[in-house]
Amino acid sequence: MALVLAALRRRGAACWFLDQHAALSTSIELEVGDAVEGTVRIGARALMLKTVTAAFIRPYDGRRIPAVQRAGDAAGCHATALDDAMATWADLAPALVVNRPAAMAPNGSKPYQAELIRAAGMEVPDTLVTTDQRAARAFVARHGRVVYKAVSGVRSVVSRLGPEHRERLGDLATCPTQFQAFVPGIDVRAHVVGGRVFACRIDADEDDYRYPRHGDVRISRLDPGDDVAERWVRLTAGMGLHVAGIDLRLRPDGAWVCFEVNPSPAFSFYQEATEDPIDEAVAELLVHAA
Amino acid sequence: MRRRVLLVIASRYDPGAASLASRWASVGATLLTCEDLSSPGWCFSPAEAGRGTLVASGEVIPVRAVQGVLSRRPCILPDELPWVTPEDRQFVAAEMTAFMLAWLATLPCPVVNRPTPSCLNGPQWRAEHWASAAVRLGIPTRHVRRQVGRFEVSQDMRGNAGFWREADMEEIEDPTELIVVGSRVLGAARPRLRAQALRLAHAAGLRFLSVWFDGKEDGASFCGASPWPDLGREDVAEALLDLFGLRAAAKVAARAP
Repeated sequence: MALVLAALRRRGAACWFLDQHAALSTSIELEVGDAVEGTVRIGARALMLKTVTAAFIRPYDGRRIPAVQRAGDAAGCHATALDDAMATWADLAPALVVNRPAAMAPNGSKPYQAELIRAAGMEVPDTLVTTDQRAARAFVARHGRVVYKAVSGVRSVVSRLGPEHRERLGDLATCPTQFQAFVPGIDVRAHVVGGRVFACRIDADEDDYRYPRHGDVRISRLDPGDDVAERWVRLTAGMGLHVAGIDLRLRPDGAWVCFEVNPSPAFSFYQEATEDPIDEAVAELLVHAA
Repeated sequence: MRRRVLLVIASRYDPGAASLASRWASVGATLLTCEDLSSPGWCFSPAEAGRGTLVASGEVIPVRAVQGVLSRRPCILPDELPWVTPEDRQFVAAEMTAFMLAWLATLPCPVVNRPTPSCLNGPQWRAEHWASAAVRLGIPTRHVRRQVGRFEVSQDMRGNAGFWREADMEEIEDPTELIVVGSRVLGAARPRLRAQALRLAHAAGLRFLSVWFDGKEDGASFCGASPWPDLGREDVAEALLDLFGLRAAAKVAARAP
Protein backbone atom coordinates (compact mmCIF):
# COMPACT_ATOMS: atom_id res chain seq x y z
CA MET A 1 0.00 0.00 0.00
CA ALA A 2 2.79 2.44 0.92
CA LEU A 3 4.61 1.76 -2.37
CA VAL A 4 1.49 2.32 -4.47
CA LEU A 5 0.57 5.44 -2.54
CA ALA A 6 4.07 6.86 -3.06
CA ALA A 7 3.94 6.01 -6.77
CA LEU A 8 0.58 7.74 -7.11
CA ARG A 9 1.92 10.84 -5.36
CA ARG A 10 4.98 10.88 -7.63
CA ARG A 11 2.53 11.06 -10.52
CA GLY A 12 0.67 13.94 -8.91
CA ALA A 13 -2.54 11.91 -8.67
CA ALA A 14 -5.23 13.27 -6.34
CA CYS A 15 -5.21 10.57 -3.66
CA TRP A 16 -7.33 10.05 -0.61
CA PHE A 17 -5.87 7.57 1.88
CA LEU A 18 -8.52 5.87 3.96
CA ASP A 19 -6.44 4.73 6.92
CA GLN A 20 -8.09 1.94 8.90
CA HIS A 21 -6.11 3.05 11.92
CA ALA A 22 -8.44 6.05 12.05
CA ALA A 23 -11.49 3.81 12.29
CA LEU A 24 -12.80 5.40 15.47
CA SER A 25 -13.03 8.84 13.88
CA THR A 26 -14.30 7.55 10.54
CA SER A 27 -17.92 7.74 9.44
CA ILE A 28 -19.62 6.55 6.27
CA GLU A 29 -22.89 7.32 4.56
CA LEU A 30 -23.77 5.09 1.64
CA GLU A 31 -26.77 5.32 -0.66
CA VAL A 32 -27.54 2.89 -3.44
CA GLY A 33 -30.36 3.31 -5.89
CA ASP A 34 -30.01 4.68 -9.38
CA ALA A 35 -26.39 5.44 -8.47
CA VAL A 36 -23.87 4.43 -5.83
CA GLU A 37 -23.18 7.48 -3.71
CA GLY A 38 -22.11 8.50 -0.27
CA THR A 39 -19.50 10.20 1.83
CA VAL A 40 -16.60 9.00 3.92
CA ARG A 41 -15.36 11.32 6.67
CA ILE A 42 -12.23 11.01 8.76
CA GLY A 43 -12.25 13.80 11.28
CA ALA A 44 -12.64 17.00 9.28
CA ARG A 45 -11.73 15.43 5.93
CA ALA A 46 -14.54 14.30 3.64
CA LEU A 47 -14.59 12.24 0.45
CA MET A 48 -17.59 12.17 -1.88
CA LEU A 49 -17.62 8.60 -3.12
CA LYS A 50 -19.09 9.50 -6.51
CA THR A 51 -15.86 11.40 -7.29
CA VAL A 52 -13.72 8.29 -6.93
CA THR A 53 -12.40 7.02 -10.28
CA ALA A 54 -10.19 4.23 -8.94
CA ALA A 55 -9.50 2.52 -5.64
CA PHE A 56 -6.67 0.30 -4.45
CA ILE A 57 -7.84 -1.61 -1.41
CA ARG A 58 -5.95 -3.78 1.03
CA PRO A 59 -8.48 -4.18 3.83
CA TYR A 60 -7.62 -5.79 7.12
CA ASP A 61 -10.01 -6.94 9.82
CA GLY A 62 -10.78 -3.59 11.46
CA ARG A 63 -11.27 -5.27 14.83
CA ARG A 64 -7.54 -5.97 14.95
CA ILE A 65 -6.53 -2.31 14.72
CA PRO A 66 -4.76 -1.54 18.04
CA ALA A 67 -6.84 1.57 18.75
CA VAL A 68 -10.01 -0.39 18.13
CA GLN A 69 -8.90 -3.21 20.40
CA ARG A 70 -8.05 -0.76 23.16
CA ALA A 71 -11.50 0.85 22.87
CA GLY A 72 -13.33 -2.42 23.55
CA ASP A 73 -16.08 -4.53 22.01
CA ALA A 74 -18.30 -1.67 20.90
CA ALA A 75 -15.41 -0.23 18.92
CA GLY A 76 -14.94 -3.64 17.32
CA CYS A 77 -18.57 -3.59 16.17
CA HIS A 78 -18.02 -0.08 14.81
CA ALA A 79 -14.94 -1.22 12.87
CA THR A 80 -16.84 -4.21 11.47
CA ALA A 81 -19.64 -1.90 10.33
CA LEU A 82 -17.09 0.33 8.57
CA ASP A 83 -15.44 -2.68 6.93
CA ASP A 84 -18.78 -3.96 5.73
CA ALA A 85 -19.89 -0.60 4.36
CA MET A 86 -16.62 -0.08 2.48
CA ALA A 87 -16.63 -3.63 1.12
CA THR A 88 -20.18 -3.10 -0.13
CA TRP A 89 -19.16 0.15 -1.80
CA ALA A 90 -16.08 -1.52 -3.32
CA ASP A 91 -18.26 -4.25 -4.84
CA LEU A 92 -20.74 -1.83 -6.37
CA ALA A 93 -18.82 1.35 -7.18
CA PRO A 94 -18.55 2.29 -10.86
CA ALA A 95 -14.87 3.10 -10.21
CA LEU A 96 -11.99 0.76 -11.08
CA VAL A 97 -11.48 -1.17 -7.85
CA VAL A 98 -8.29 -3.16 -7.39
CA ASN A 99 -9.65 -5.64 -6.50
CA ARG A 100 -13.36 -5.94 -5.81
CA PRO A 101 -14.11 -8.00 -2.67
CA ALA A 102 -16.36 -10.37 -4.60
CA ALA A 103 -13.51 -11.12 -7.02
CA MET A 104 -11.04 -11.63 -4.17
CA ALA A 105 -13.31 -13.98 -2.21
CA PRO A 106 -12.52 -17.24 -4.09
CA ASN A 107 -9.02 -17.08 -2.62
CA GLY A 108 -10.64 -17.99 0.71
CA SER A 109 -11.01 -21.60 -0.47
CA LYS A 110 -7.97 -23.08 -2.18
CA PRO A 111 -9.73 -26.05 -3.79
CA TYR A 112 -12.57 -23.81 -4.96
CA GLN A 113 -10.15 -21.39 -6.56
CA ALA A 114 -8.15 -24.27 -8.02
CA GLU A 115 -11.23 -25.40 -9.91
CA LEU A 116 -11.59 -21.90 -11.37
CA ILE A 117 -7.93 -22.07 -12.41
CA ARG A 118 -8.42 -25.50 -13.95
CA ALA A 119 -11.55 -24.28 -15.76
CA ALA A 120 -9.40 -21.50 -17.23
CA GLY A 121 -7.23 -24.18 -18.83
CA MET A 122 -4.29 -24.28 -16.44
CA GLU A 123 -2.92 -27.34 -14.74
CA VAL A 124 -3.34 -27.60 -10.97
CA PRO A 125 -1.91 -30.23 -8.60
CA ASP A 126 -3.85 -33.42 -7.97
CA THR A 127 -5.69 -32.75 -4.71
CA LEU A 128 -7.48 -34.71 -2.00
CA VAL A 129 -9.42 -33.18 0.88
CA THR A 130 -10.33 -35.79 3.44
CA THR A 131 -11.13 -36.71 7.01
CA ASP A 132 -10.23 -40.32 6.30
CA GLN A 133 -6.77 -41.62 7.07
CA ARG A 134 -7.14 -44.58 4.70
CA ALA A 135 -7.88 -42.24 1.82
CA ALA A 136 -4.89 -40.10 2.80
CA ARG A 137 -2.60 -43.15 2.89
CA ALA A 138 -3.88 -44.27 -0.52
CA PHE A 139 -3.19 -40.78 -1.92
CA VAL A 140 0.35 -40.88 -0.54
CA ALA A 141 0.86 -44.35 -1.98
CA ARG A 142 -0.30 -43.11 -5.41
CA HIS A 143 1.84 -39.98 -5.52
CA GLY A 144 4.83 -40.77 -3.33
CA ARG A 145 5.67 -37.22 -2.38
CA VAL A 146 2.75 -35.24 -0.96
CA VAL A 147 2.33 -31.85 0.70
CA TYR A 148 -0.44 -30.69 3.03
CA LYS A 149 -1.76 -27.16 3.31
CA ALA A 150 -4.72 -25.18 4.59
CA VAL A 151 -8.00 -25.40 2.70
CA SER A 152 -9.01 -21.86 3.61
CA GLY A 153 -7.36 -18.51 3.07
CA VAL A 154 -5.81 -18.67 6.54
CA ARG A 155 -2.10 -18.42 5.86
CA SER A 156 -0.31 -21.66 6.62
CA VAL A 157 3.05 -23.21 5.89
CA VAL A 158 2.98 -25.68 3.02
CA SER A 159 4.70 -28.80 4.37
CA ARG A 160 5.88 -32.07 2.91
CA LEU A 161 4.13 -35.06 4.47
CA GLY A 162 6.81 -37.11 6.20
CA PRO A 163 6.90 -40.34 8.20
CA GLU A 164 6.45 -38.35 11.41
CA HIS A 165 3.11 -37.03 10.12
CA ARG A 166 1.82 -40.41 9.03
CA GLU A 167 1.50 -41.50 12.64
CA ARG A 168 -0.90 -38.61 13.19
CA LEU A 169 -3.19 -39.25 10.25
CA GLY A 170 -5.87 -40.50 12.65
CA ASP A 171 -6.30 -36.86 13.71
CA LEU A 172 -7.66 -36.05 10.25
CA ALA A 173 -11.15 -36.98 11.44
CA THR A 174 -11.45 -33.65 13.25
CA CYS A 175 -11.28 -31.47 10.18
CA PRO A 176 -11.10 -31.94 6.40
CA THR A 177 -7.44 -31.62 5.45
CA GLN A 178 -5.97 -30.87 2.05
CA PHE A 179 -3.23 -32.97 0.48
CA GLN A 180 -1.60 -32.27 -2.85
CA ALA A 181 0.75 -34.23 -5.04
CA PHE A 182 4.21 -32.68 -4.76
CA VAL A 183 5.13 -30.86 -7.95
CA PRO A 184 8.86 -30.80 -8.70
CA GLY A 185 10.40 -27.81 -10.45
CA ILE A 186 11.13 -24.12 -10.14
CA ASP A 187 8.97 -21.81 -8.06
CA VAL A 188 7.69 -18.86 -10.05
CA ARG A 189 5.73 -15.86 -8.92
CA ALA A 190 4.01 -13.82 -11.61
CA HIS A 191 2.51 -10.44 -10.82
CA VAL A 192 -0.13 -9.43 -13.31
CA VAL A 193 -1.05 -5.76 -13.41
CA GLY A 194 -3.71 -5.06 -16.01
CA GLY A 195 -2.09 -6.40 -19.18
CA ARG A 196 1.48 -6.38 -17.83
CA VAL A 197 3.32 -9.32 -16.31
CA PHE A 198 6.28 -9.23 -13.93
CA ALA A 199 7.58 -12.74 -13.32
CA CYS A 200 10.38 -14.00 -11.15
CA ARG A 201 11.83 -17.35 -10.20
CA ILE A 202 12.51 -18.26 -6.61
CA ASP A 203 15.30 -20.63 -5.68
CA ALA A 204 15.15 -22.00 -2.17
CA ASP A 205 15.71 -25.29 -0.41
CA GLU A 206 12.24 -25.23 1.11
CA ASP A 207 8.82 -26.62 0.31
CA ASP A 208 7.45 -23.16 1.17
CA TYR A 209 9.99 -20.45 0.36
CA ARG A 210 7.91 -17.88 2.25
CA TYR A 211 9.09 -19.49 5.49
CA PRO A 212 12.81 -20.21 5.03
CA ARG A 213 14.23 -22.20 7.91
CA HIS A 214 17.72 -22.50 6.50
CA GLY A 215 19.65 -21.25 3.52
CA ASP A 216 18.96 -18.34 1.22
CA VAL A 217 15.97 -17.47 -0.87
CA ARG A 218 17.16 -16.16 -4.22
CA ILE A 219 14.76 -14.24 -6.43
CA SER A 220 15.55 -13.33 -10.00
CA ARG A 221 13.63 -11.94 -12.95
CA LEU A 222 12.14 -14.49 -15.37
CA ASP A 223 10.85 -14.09 -18.90
CA PRO A 224 8.05 -16.64 -19.38
CA GLY A 225 7.52 -15.77 -23.04
CA ASP A 226 4.62 -13.91 -24.57
CA ASP A 227 2.26 -16.86 -24.90
CA VAL A 228 2.58 -17.90 -21.27
CA ALA A 229 2.34 -14.32 -20.04
CA GLU A 230 -0.81 -13.87 -22.10
CA ARG A 231 -2.36 -16.94 -20.45
CA TRP A 232 -1.68 -15.45 -17.03
CA VAL A 233 -3.23 -12.15 -18.05
CA ARG A 234 -6.32 -13.99 -19.30
CA LEU A 235 -6.50 -16.06 -16.12
CA THR A 236 -6.35 -12.93 -13.98
CA ALA A 237 -8.92 -11.04 -16.01
CA GLY A 238 -11.17 -14.09 -16.14
CA MET A 239 -11.26 -14.12 -12.35
CA GLY A 240 -12.39 -10.50 -12.34
CA LEU A 241 -9.04 -9.28 -11.01
CA HIS A 242 -6.98 -6.31 -12.18
CA VAL A 243 -3.90 -7.17 -10.12
CA ALA A 244 -2.82 -10.61 -8.95
CA GLY A 245 0.16 -12.58 -7.73
CA ILE A 246 0.12 -16.02 -9.33
CA ASP A 247 2.03 -18.84 -7.66
CA LEU A 248 3.30 -21.44 -10.11
CA ARG A 249 5.87 -24.13 -10.56
CA LEU A 250 7.68 -24.82 -13.82
CA ARG A 251 8.11 -28.57 -14.00
CA PRO A 252 11.24 -30.15 -15.46
CA ASP A 253 9.16 -31.25 -18.47
CA GLY A 254 8.35 -27.59 -19.20
CA ALA A 255 4.73 -27.71 -18.02
CA TRP A 256 3.35 -24.94 -15.82
CA VAL A 257 1.38 -25.90 -12.71
CA CYS A 258 -0.61 -23.21 -10.95
CA PHE A 259 -1.11 -23.30 -7.18
CA GLU A 260 -2.93 -20.13 -6.40
CA VAL A 261 -3.95 -16.68 -7.62
CA ASN A 262 -3.42 -14.17 -4.84
CA PRO A 263 -5.79 -11.22 -5.29
CA SER A 264 -4.00 -9.00 -2.79
CA PRO A 265 -0.34 -9.79 -3.43
CA ALA A 266 2.38 -8.45 -1.17
CA PHE A 267 4.63 -7.66 -4.14
CA SER A 268 7.20 -5.50 -2.33
CA PHE A 269 9.17 -8.63 -1.32
CA TYR A 270 9.67 -9.58 -4.98
CA GLN A 271 10.01 -6.02 -6.30
CA GLU A 272 12.85 -5.38 -3.90
CA ALA A 273 14.79 -8.29 -5.40
CA THR A 274 14.00 -7.82 -9.08
CA GLU A 275 13.61 -4.05 -9.17
CA ASP A 276 10.57 -4.55 -11.39
CA PRO A 277 8.38 -1.43 -11.17
CA ILE A 278 5.25 -3.22 -9.99
CA ASP A 279 4.18 -0.31 -7.80
CA GLU A 280 4.49 2.05 -10.78
CA ALA A 281 2.44 -0.30 -12.93
CA VAL A 282 -0.33 -0.41 -10.33
CA ALA A 283 -0.27 3.37 -10.02
CA GLU A 284 -0.45 3.72 -13.78
CA LEU A 285 -3.42 1.36 -13.91
CA LEU A 286 -5.24 3.39 -11.26
CA VAL A 287 -4.44 6.76 -12.83
CA HIS A 288 -5.38 5.51 -16.28
CA ALA A 289 -8.89 4.70 -14.99
CA ALA A 290 -9.49 8.40 -14.48
CA MET B 1 -29.19 -50.89 -4.70
CA ARG B 2 -28.25 -48.32 -2.11
CA ARG B 3 -30.83 -45.73 -1.14
CA ARG B 4 -30.64 -42.24 -2.58
CA VAL B 5 -30.30 -39.25 -0.24
CA LEU B 6 -31.42 -35.65 -0.18
CA LEU B 7 -29.06 -33.60 1.98
CA VAL B 8 -30.24 -30.75 4.16
CA ILE B 9 -27.16 -28.81 5.24
CA ALA B 10 -27.88 -26.92 8.42
CA SER B 11 -27.05 -26.48 12.05
CA ARG B 12 -28.55 -29.11 14.30
CA TYR B 13 -30.04 -26.17 16.17
CA ASP B 14 -32.03 -25.07 13.10
CA PRO B 15 -35.52 -26.39 13.88
CA GLY B 16 -36.94 -25.51 10.47
CA ALA B 17 -34.29 -27.49 8.64
CA ALA B 18 -34.51 -30.43 11.04
CA SER B 19 -38.28 -30.52 10.70
CA LEU B 20 -38.07 -30.47 6.92
CA ALA B 21 -35.48 -33.25 6.87
CA SER B 22 -37.74 -35.32 9.09
CA ARG B 23 -40.76 -34.61 6.91
CA TRP B 24 -38.85 -35.60 3.79
CA ALA B 25 -37.46 -38.78 5.32
CA SER B 26 -39.45 -40.88 2.85
CA VAL B 27 -37.39 -39.49 -0.03
CA GLY B 28 -34.11 -40.02 1.78
CA ALA B 29 -33.65 -36.60 3.36
CA THR B 30 -30.96 -36.42 6.00
CA LEU B 31 -29.30 -33.61 7.92
CA LEU B 32 -25.65 -32.80 7.34
CA THR B 33 -24.31 -30.81 10.29
CA CYS B 34 -20.87 -29.55 11.24
CA GLU B 35 -20.56 -32.57 13.54
CA ASP B 36 -20.44 -34.63 10.35
CA LEU B 37 -17.50 -32.56 9.15
CA SER B 38 -15.56 -33.85 12.14
CA SER B 39 -16.14 -37.48 11.21
CA PRO B 40 -13.97 -39.90 9.24
CA GLY B 41 -15.29 -40.70 5.80
CA TRP B 42 -15.06 -37.50 3.77
CA CYS B 43 -13.14 -37.89 0.51
CA PHE B 44 -13.13 -35.10 -2.04
CA SER B 45 -10.98 -34.95 -5.14
CA PRO B 46 -12.01 -31.79 -7.00
CA ALA B 47 -11.10 -33.31 -10.36
CA GLU B 48 -13.44 -36.24 -9.66
CA ALA B 49 -16.12 -34.58 -7.58
CA GLY B 50 -18.77 -37.19 -8.35
CA ARG B 51 -16.72 -40.10 -7.02
CA GLY B 52 -16.09 -39.16 -3.42
CA THR B 53 -17.79 -39.88 -0.14
CA LEU B 54 -19.43 -37.71 2.49
CA VAL B 55 -20.76 -38.05 6.00
CA ALA B 56 -24.32 -37.09 6.90
CA SER B 57 -26.07 -37.86 10.19
CA GLY B 58 -23.01 -39.94 11.06
CA GLU B 59 -23.28 -42.19 8.01
CA VAL B 60 -20.67 -42.47 5.24
CA ILE B 61 -22.45 -42.02 1.89
CA PRO B 62 -21.12 -42.09 -1.68
CA VAL B 63 -21.55 -38.77 -3.46
CA ARG B 64 -23.24 -40.55 -6.37
CA ALA B 65 -26.14 -41.40 -4.01
CA VAL B 66 -26.93 -37.73 -3.45
CA GLN B 67 -29.91 -36.61 -5.50
CA GLY B 68 -30.06 -33.05 -4.23
CA VAL B 69 -28.86 -30.61 -1.58
CA LEU B 70 -30.69 -27.90 0.30
CA SER B 71 -28.17 -25.52 1.88
CA ARG B 72 -29.34 -23.65 4.96
CA ARG B 73 -26.19 -22.26 6.48
CA PRO B 74 -23.97 -19.31 5.52
CA CYS B 75 -20.79 -20.74 7.04
CA ILE B 76 -19.50 -22.81 9.95
CA LEU B 77 -19.01 -20.77 13.09
CA PRO B 78 -16.29 -21.39 15.69
CA ASP B 79 -18.88 -21.58 18.47
CA GLU B 80 -20.46 -24.57 16.75
CA LEU B 81 -17.35 -26.67 17.38
CA PRO B 82 -17.17 -27.24 21.14
CA TRP B 83 -15.24 -30.50 20.63
CA VAL B 84 -12.36 -28.59 19.04
CA THR B 85 -9.68 -27.02 21.26
CA PRO B 86 -10.77 -23.39 21.82
CA GLU B 87 -7.61 -21.87 20.30
CA ASP B 88 -8.14 -23.92 17.12
CA ARG B 89 -11.88 -23.32 16.64
CA GLN B 90 -11.59 -20.26 14.43
CA PHE B 91 -9.13 -22.00 12.12
CA VAL B 92 -11.12 -25.22 11.97
CA ALA B 93 -14.35 -23.31 11.27
CA ALA B 94 -12.63 -21.45 8.40
CA GLU B 95 -11.25 -24.73 7.04
CA MET B 96 -14.65 -26.43 7.19
CA THR B 97 -16.36 -23.49 5.50
CA ALA B 98 -13.74 -23.38 2.73
CA PHE B 99 -14.07 -27.12 2.25
CA MET B 100 -17.87 -26.99 2.05
CA LEU B 101 -17.69 -24.22 -0.53
CA ALA B 102 -15.47 -26.27 -2.84
CA TRP B 103 -17.45 -29.44 -2.24
CA LEU B 104 -20.90 -27.93 -2.79
CA ALA B 105 -19.74 -25.95 -5.82
CA THR B 106 -18.60 -29.08 -7.65
CA LEU B 107 -21.41 -31.50 -6.72
CA PRO B 108 -22.97 -32.95 -9.87
CA CYS B 109 -26.53 -32.92 -8.42
CA PRO B 110 -28.93 -29.97 -7.89
CA VAL B 111 -27.77 -27.73 -5.02
CA VAL B 112 -30.25 -25.16 -3.72
CA ASN B 113 -28.76 -22.64 -3.46
CA ARG B 114 -25.30 -23.11 -4.94
CA PRO B 115 -22.68 -21.57 -2.66
CA THR B 116 -20.51 -18.59 -3.46
CA PRO B 117 -17.18 -17.67 -1.85
CA SER B 118 -19.02 -15.35 0.53
CA CYS B 119 -21.78 -17.70 1.66
CA LEU B 120 -22.67 -21.39 1.52
CA ASN B 121 -26.19 -20.44 0.39
CA GLY B 122 -25.86 -18.13 -2.59
CA PRO B 123 -24.20 -14.74 -2.51
CA GLN B 124 -24.04 -12.85 0.74
CA TRP B 125 -25.59 -9.80 -0.81
CA ARG B 126 -26.29 -6.78 1.30
CA ALA B 127 -29.40 -4.66 0.75
CA GLU B 128 -27.28 -2.41 -1.46
CA HIS B 129 -26.28 -5.30 -3.74
CA TRP B 130 -29.92 -6.26 -4.18
CA ALA B 131 -30.94 -2.68 -4.88
CA SER B 132 -28.14 -2.31 -7.41
CA ALA B 133 -29.10 -5.54 -9.16
CA ALA B 134 -32.75 -4.53 -9.28
CA VAL B 135 -31.90 -1.13 -10.75
CA ARG B 136 -29.75 -2.78 -13.42
CA LEU B 137 -32.73 -4.98 -14.33
CA GLY B 138 -34.96 -1.94 -14.66
CA ILE B 139 -37.09 -2.86 -11.65
CA PRO B 140 -38.52 0.06 -9.65
CA THR B 141 -36.44 0.01 -6.48
CA ARG B 142 -36.47 1.75 -3.13
CA HIS B 143 -33.12 3.31 -2.37
CA VAL B 144 -31.02 1.81 0.38
CA ARG B 145 -29.19 4.10 2.74
CA ARG B 146 -26.78 3.17 5.45
CA GLN B 147 -24.90 5.29 7.87
CA VAL B 148 -22.03 4.40 10.16
CA GLY B 149 -21.41 7.29 12.48
CA ARG B 150 -18.12 8.25 14.09
CA PHE B 151 -17.48 6.03 17.06
CA GLU B 152 -16.98 8.80 19.59
CA VAL B 153 -20.10 10.67 18.51
CA SER B 154 -22.32 7.65 18.44
CA GLN B 155 -20.99 6.49 21.79
CA ASP B 156 -22.17 9.76 23.28
CA MET B 157 -25.46 9.80 21.47
CA ARG B 158 -26.52 6.19 21.62
CA GLY B 159 -24.25 4.45 24.06
CA ASN B 160 -23.69 1.59 21.68
CA ALA B 161 -21.44 0.54 18.83
CA GLY B 162 -22.22 3.50 16.64
CA PHE B 163 -23.68 1.34 13.89
CA TRP B 164 -27.09 1.95 12.64
CA ARG B 165 -28.71 1.35 9.39
CA GLU B 166 -31.64 2.90 7.70
CA ALA B 167 -33.07 0.19 5.53
CA ASP B 168 -36.23 0.98 3.68
CA MET B 169 -37.63 -2.46 4.47
CA GLU B 170 -38.11 -1.32 8.04
CA GLU B 171 -40.38 1.50 6.90
CA ILE B 172 -42.80 -0.78 5.07
CA GLU B 173 -45.56 -2.09 7.26
CA ASP B 174 -46.82 -4.94 5.13
CA PRO B 175 -44.47 -5.80 2.27
CA THR B 176 -45.55 -8.33 -0.35
CA GLU B 177 -43.41 -11.45 -0.23
CA LEU B 178 -42.91 -13.64 -3.26
CA ILE B 179 -40.88 -16.82 -2.97
CA VAL B 180 -39.00 -18.05 -5.99
CA VAL B 181 -38.51 -21.83 -6.10
CA GLY B 182 -36.84 -22.79 -9.34
CA SER B 183 -39.04 -21.42 -12.10
CA ARG B 184 -42.09 -21.07 -9.83
CA VAL B 185 -43.09 -18.00 -7.87
CA LEU B 186 -45.21 -18.49 -4.75
CA GLY B 187 -47.34 -15.65 -3.38
CA ALA B 188 -50.05 -13.31 -4.57
CA ALA B 189 -48.98 -10.48 -6.85
CA ARG B 190 -49.38 -9.22 -10.38
CA PRO B 191 -47.58 -11.23 -13.11
CA ARG B 192 -45.18 -8.37 -13.68
CA LEU B 193 -43.91 -8.50 -10.09
CA ARG B 194 -43.64 -12.27 -10.28
CA ALA B 195 -41.54 -11.96 -13.42
CA GLN B 196 -39.35 -9.38 -11.71
CA ALA B 197 -38.81 -11.71 -8.77
CA LEU B 198 -37.71 -14.45 -11.14
CA ARG B 199 -35.33 -12.13 -12.95
CA LEU B 200 -33.76 -11.05 -9.68
CA ALA B 201 -33.25 -14.64 -8.57
CA HIS B 202 -31.73 -15.45 -11.95
CA ALA B 203 -29.42 -12.43 -11.77
CA ALA B 204 -28.23 -13.56 -8.34
CA GLY B 205 -27.78 -17.16 -9.47
CA LEU B 206 -30.38 -18.35 -6.97
CA ARG B 207 -33.18 -20.89 -7.29
CA PHE B 208 -34.70 -20.31 -3.84
CA LEU B 209 -35.28 -16.73 -2.82
CA SER B 210 -37.71 -14.49 -0.96
CA VAL B 211 -38.34 -11.20 -2.73
CA TRP B 212 -40.26 -8.29 -1.21
CA PHE B 213 -42.12 -5.45 -2.88
CA ASP B 214 -43.90 -2.53 -1.28
CA GLY B 215 -47.21 -3.52 -2.88
CA LYS B 216 -48.97 -6.15 -4.98
CA GLU B 217 -49.76 -4.11 -8.07
CA ASP B 218 -47.74 -3.26 -11.16
CA GLY B 219 -45.32 -0.49 -10.38
CA ALA B 220 -44.66 -1.63 -6.81
CA SER B 221 -41.05 -1.12 -5.83
CA PHE B 222 -38.59 -3.82 -4.95
CA CYS B 223 -37.51 -3.41 -1.35
CA GLY B 224 -35.49 -6.46 -0.37
CA ALA B 225 -34.59 -10.12 -0.90
CA SER B 226 -33.25 -13.02 1.11
CA PRO B 227 -32.04 -16.52 0.21
CA TRP B 228 -33.53 -17.81 3.48
CA PRO B 229 -37.27 -18.31 2.79
CA ASP B 230 -39.41 -19.84 5.52
CA LEU B 231 -39.17 -23.64 5.31
CA GLY B 232 -42.27 -24.09 7.45
CA ARG B 233 -44.69 -23.31 4.64
CA GLU B 234 -46.35 -26.31 3.03
CA ASP B 235 -46.32 -24.80 -0.46
CA VAL B 236 -42.61 -24.00 -0.15
CA ALA B 237 -41.73 -27.54 0.91
CA GLU B 238 -43.73 -29.02 -1.96
CA ALA B 239 -42.22 -26.68 -4.51
CA LEU B 240 -38.75 -27.59 -3.27
CA LEU B 241 -39.52 -31.28 -3.72
CA ASP B 242 -40.65 -30.47 -7.25
CA LEU B 243 -37.39 -28.65 -7.83
CA PHE B 244 -35.45 -31.74 -6.77
CA GLY B 245 -37.72 -33.91 -8.94
CA LEU B 246 -38.90 -35.83 -5.89
CA ARG B 247 -42.53 -34.85 -5.47
CA ALA B 248 -43.84 -37.93 -7.24
CA ALA B 249 -41.57 -40.14 -5.13
CA ALA B 250 -42.86 -38.46 -1.99
CA LYS B 251 -46.46 -39.12 -3.04
CA VAL B 252 -45.72 -42.76 -3.72
CA ALA B 253 -44.02 -43.07 -0.35
CA ALA B 254 -46.97 -41.41 1.36
CA ARG B 255 -49.38 -43.95 -0.16
CA ALA B 256 -47.22 -46.91 0.82
CA PRO B 257 -48.61 -48.97 3.70
